[in-house]
Amino acid sequence: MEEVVAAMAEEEVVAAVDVEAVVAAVNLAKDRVGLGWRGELAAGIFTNLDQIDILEVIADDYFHMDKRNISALRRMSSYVPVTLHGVAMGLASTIPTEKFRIEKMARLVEAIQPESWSEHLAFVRAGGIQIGHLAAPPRSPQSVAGAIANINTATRIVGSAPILENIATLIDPPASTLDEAQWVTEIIQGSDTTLLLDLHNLYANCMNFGKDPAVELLRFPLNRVQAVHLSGGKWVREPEEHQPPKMRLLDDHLHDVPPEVFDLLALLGRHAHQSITVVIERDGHFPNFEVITEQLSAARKALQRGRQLAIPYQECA
Amino acid sequence: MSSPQLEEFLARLYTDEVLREQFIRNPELITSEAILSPEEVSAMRNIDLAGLQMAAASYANKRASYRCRPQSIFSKFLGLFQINRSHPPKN
Repeated sequence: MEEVVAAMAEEEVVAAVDVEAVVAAVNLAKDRVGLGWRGELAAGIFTNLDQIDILEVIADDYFHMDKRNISALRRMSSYVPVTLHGVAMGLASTIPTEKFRIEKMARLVEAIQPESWSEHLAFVRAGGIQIGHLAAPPRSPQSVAGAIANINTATRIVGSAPILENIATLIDPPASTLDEAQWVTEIIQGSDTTLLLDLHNLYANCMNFGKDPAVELLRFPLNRVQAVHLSGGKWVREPEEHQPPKMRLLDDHLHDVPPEVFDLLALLGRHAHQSITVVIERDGHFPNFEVITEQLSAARKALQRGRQLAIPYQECA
Repeated sequence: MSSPQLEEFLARLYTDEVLREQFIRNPELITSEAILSPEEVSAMRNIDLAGLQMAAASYANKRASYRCRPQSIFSKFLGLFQINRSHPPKN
């Protein structure tokens, strides 16, 4: 009897391992790695489409494009999956997002028929003042409620929900009563949306405000991660009047993805069981495209490394 | 604690260099003139000053880069795709 039980137990273990292996293999098959579309990278992108599973296009660049360019983008989306990425809607705010900004995205989504669209958890304007970039609002129940209301409005007008991205910040947002992981989780869960987890943004914020990125990563709603951004940045010194001046990490998209961020991707792959789309962002200081393809390959390997060490479901609960 | 008034005050601090310098020199005076709750005033007086200066500089650089950005580059290179038909469509 003991031998039978032992044999059954062994079979169950083998079966469990097999299931895990299958789940990991299936996820690996569905995981995708792509690149942010930039005109400067066009030649490299077109000649390396076999290594690029998806292109992310900055939506705002096309809001005022003529029909010829919209048609070209539509044509490109028939050759390679395209996702649209918005940068100026300002969804994470106690101030309602103006409908005409959402309607621009709705029209572009209608014209291009991308597989998805995304926006940032940021505020970009207030009281008629344009900040000019993504700013972190005070992380509070009020901004959570404002963000959820704006996301619901955007979802209704566009016809599909945005994937929402965490942003990098050089300033610890004042008047915050929630930390970043709590704030993002409440918005994602409250709006029933998915997360575009920018791992360099997460890494930069942790470096700037004294947190362990691996610990913080595991506090995000990893079961809601649909996509990932990878990018690089540079260290900048605090103004001299702050003694001793420390260094902070600026997410500038002008540098290669650092090894620490690939390690976070592996950790994510280990703890998240759903398939994930990874996009590398590069906005300038463009290297030889071989460097880009090496980064794409490194992303695949990091995710694969994580999948091979995947935590079984019951341990993730 | 967060309100449209606080977001507007932050947006002004991020974009108005004169106001920002006045705030750094005398946060009590500047916040007392703003329409903020007592909790928001207290939070602003404890703001991460180095971060404020660095974030404002970063936003200013972004605004400057947008002004200098050649808008035609996207259409120029996207146009290339119209004549590149060597790759089959992906589903």
